[in-house]
Amino acid sequence: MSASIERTASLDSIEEFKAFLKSEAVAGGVPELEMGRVTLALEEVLTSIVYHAYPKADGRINPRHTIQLACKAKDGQLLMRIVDKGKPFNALADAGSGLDLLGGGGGMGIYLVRKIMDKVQYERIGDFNVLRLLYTSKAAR
Amino acid sequence: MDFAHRMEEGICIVAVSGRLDAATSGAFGAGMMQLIDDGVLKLALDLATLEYVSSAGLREFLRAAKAIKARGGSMVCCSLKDYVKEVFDMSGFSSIIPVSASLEEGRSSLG
Repeated sequence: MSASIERTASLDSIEEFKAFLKSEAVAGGVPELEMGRVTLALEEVLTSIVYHAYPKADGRINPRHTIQLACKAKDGQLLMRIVDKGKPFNALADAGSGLDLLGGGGGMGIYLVRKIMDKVQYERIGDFNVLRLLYTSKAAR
Repeated sequence: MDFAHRMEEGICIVAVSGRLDAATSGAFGAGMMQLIDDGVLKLALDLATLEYVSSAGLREFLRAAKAIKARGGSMVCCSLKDYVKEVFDMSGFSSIIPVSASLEEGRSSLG
């Protein structure tokens, strides 16, 4: 991975993660026009981690609870690795189908992630949740 | 996220601007449900200045659409920006919730 940032697991950190991703991806040849959907996928994953991997005690944010985002982009292909030290939690599970939306159930965000990204993978490695997401720009396909 | 509503000829027009994400969609959802609980049966959402929506925002659109339908009313989303329309299309929302190209068209569809 060529670059990474680590921030507190909080909704307030999401814009910073997205700005970092956008900057790295565009430098690596992913068209800016496609970054709206790619950063949406990142936001959905991060939101899920904030809510589920790090359940907050009394609504407080623990500064020791962090998320690391590493990314590498080249020739229009973007690889993201998102690592947290929360409880075992697969943010990519329970995507369901579009029709689940009618029932108003969860999984809508992850459904979008799977629609946007070309490849998604979750692993529990030691005490870490590790997500890998691959996006290939339209021109690079 | 800014949320404002006005009544015009029996139709409640709700203008939503800014971002609808995990941090802001709760307030949007509460505002919508308040209108529906107050008896609004025709609702046109003016999304011309809505810049961003995530799944958290989509869930609130869906919740409102279901609630108003359960009361015999209807809702239409109007003037979606390209990005918001892309998310509606990707999620399948465009086939669940009526979408109109303009507020005028949306108002007409509500009768």
